[in-house]
Amino acid sequence: MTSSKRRFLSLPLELVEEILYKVPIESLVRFQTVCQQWHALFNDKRFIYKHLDLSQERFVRLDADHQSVQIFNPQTNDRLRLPFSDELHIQEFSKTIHCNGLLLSLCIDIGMTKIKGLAVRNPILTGVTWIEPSNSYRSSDIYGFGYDNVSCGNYKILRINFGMLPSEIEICEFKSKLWRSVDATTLECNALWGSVSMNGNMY
Amino acid sequence: MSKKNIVLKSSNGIIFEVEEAVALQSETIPYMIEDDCANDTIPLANVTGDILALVIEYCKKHVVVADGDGGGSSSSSQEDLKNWDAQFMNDLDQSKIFNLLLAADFLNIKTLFDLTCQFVADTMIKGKSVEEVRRTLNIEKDYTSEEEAKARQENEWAFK
Repeated sequence: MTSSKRRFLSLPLELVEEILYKVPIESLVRFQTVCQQWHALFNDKRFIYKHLDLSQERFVRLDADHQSVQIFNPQTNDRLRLPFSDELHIQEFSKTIHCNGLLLSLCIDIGMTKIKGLAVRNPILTGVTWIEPSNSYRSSDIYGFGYDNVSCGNYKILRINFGMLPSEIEICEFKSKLWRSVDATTLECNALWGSVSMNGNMY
Repeated sequence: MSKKNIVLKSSNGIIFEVEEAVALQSETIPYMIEDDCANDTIPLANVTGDILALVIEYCKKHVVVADGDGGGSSSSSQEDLKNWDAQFMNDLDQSKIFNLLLAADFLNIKTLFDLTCQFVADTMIKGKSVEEVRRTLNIEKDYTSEEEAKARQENEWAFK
């Protein structure tokens, strides 16, 4: 009992940190303003990745109208519905891919001929980051979303087009936001219109 | 195979004698036994008697169950233990819970530490307001109102 005036014992920050690993992310977002120590902690990469590592697996379901997501915890049956920020309500999305709680959405104009952009959204923090589409966008492109095992902070977007000969493969790293083409002519794959991301790898 | 007992002494001088298997759920105690070959009592300067009694109650319960199911942990005993844990935590007031957390940390009893952290997270933090959390965890507000508003807008950490 350090201070006599106060009602409760203060816990050392290391223990508070251990407790915060067990608080779901949507609550933590609100607690940025508890004190400067917490704010600094929540912006510390070490904390962010450990929290992500320890958090319980949950399902993300995108609603049919692309206006909101539902996050479902199969262990506790908790359900959380999060609307997207207004900014993107008007946009037209053709496809959304999920990775680590982030959603990559392709914004395509009505005629499906031109891609307006790739939006990476975090439904919990309601943030959006836009990625410029590659110059060689085609409507038959297949996209993947993942990260390498070295740093999960550097998310990558993969664009593949098997319709072309040779296949076109490009990767855009989240940090640089630049597209570079990858030479992988040996890769042959009869991909359907779909991909999933698991532990950073695209399947 | 005689069962060896270990004697623990709380910070306020209360003596507890427990079976070795109970005490060895703490990863700190074996080091203390090694260091203090004189064997008699192990002094725990950071843990008061009432908290040590709770720690021992928890360790006894968990050692019995670990013995009882002979390796293949049946789901019903797991379920019982979970219910027991929940009841155990529910009966404690906040000051006991915080002291128990400190004791579990000091004695390095991982399951008790995790249980206590989870309980605090679920009952005192998750779903509470910023003010409630400050009060519960005894944290002083070190933001001006303007800074607080600004920090609130900076919700972009997962994107960095």
